[in-house]
Amino acid sequence: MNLRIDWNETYSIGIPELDAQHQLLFNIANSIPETVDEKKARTCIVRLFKYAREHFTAEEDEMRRVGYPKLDEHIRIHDALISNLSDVAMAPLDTEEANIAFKKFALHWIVDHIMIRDKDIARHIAQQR
Amino acid sequence: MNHKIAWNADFSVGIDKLDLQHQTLFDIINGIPEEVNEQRVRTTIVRLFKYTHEHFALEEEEMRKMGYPRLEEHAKIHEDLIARLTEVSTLPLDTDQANQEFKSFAIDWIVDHIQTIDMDYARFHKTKEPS
Ligand SMILES: [Fe+2]
Ligand SMILES: [Fe+2]
Ligand SMILES: [Fe+2]
Repeated sequence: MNLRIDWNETYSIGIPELDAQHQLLFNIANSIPETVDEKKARTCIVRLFKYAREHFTAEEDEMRRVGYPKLDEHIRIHDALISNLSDVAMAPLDTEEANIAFKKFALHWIVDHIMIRDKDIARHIAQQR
Repeated sequence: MNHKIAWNADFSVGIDKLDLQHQTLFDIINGIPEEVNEQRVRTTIVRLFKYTHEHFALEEEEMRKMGYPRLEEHAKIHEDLIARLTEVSTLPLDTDQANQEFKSFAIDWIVDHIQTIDMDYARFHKTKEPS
């Protein structure tokens, strides 16, 4: 198996800086090993946390800037996303199946976030125009 | 060797919920294994990132509430702290010594954070509090 999701236009929320960060998150999730490799898995997870935080902070700043009305709700969702990621990232990764399941989770975690939550920011900006 | 850091009143920033979070961070760091144990070290690092995220978010919110003037600067320092933690957390942890070094780093990292930058908003907070 070689799970990967490449960013494409359908994922765009129309804000280049945030789109670039979403691409980077996909790249990190794509590099999660599908075989048992604790060291590599740890590196990916750590990077995922770092860039997710940077991304969420940038996104929250942007939402503030454009006067997005559901800012508080979106911040709560970001915190919940970090929690979900931690729960799953703490499970044992001592089999290939476990690694693959973790990778699927991480990819869906990003896609859901962009397609469901972030697209709403894009709609708000479009309406303002 | 058994590295440990105990929280005491010298670390208090005068805001209970932030003090509690600092104590939780100490507990997590104390749980970093001093021998090779990839699964346990990963679990500990994941918890460390999660609580650090929660802690920095709450700290930034509290600073905003008290009208702390150096909020932006402090938020930038938080990003740097995460960057440093990331760098060190991705190093190989395949010897006992590497694990011990990682733990020492994490202890210094949290102590440094509290004593240098957090104490600055603690002082600011104190001046605003009605005595
Ligand atoms: Fe996003
Ligand atoms: Fe978001
Ligand atoms: Fe702090």
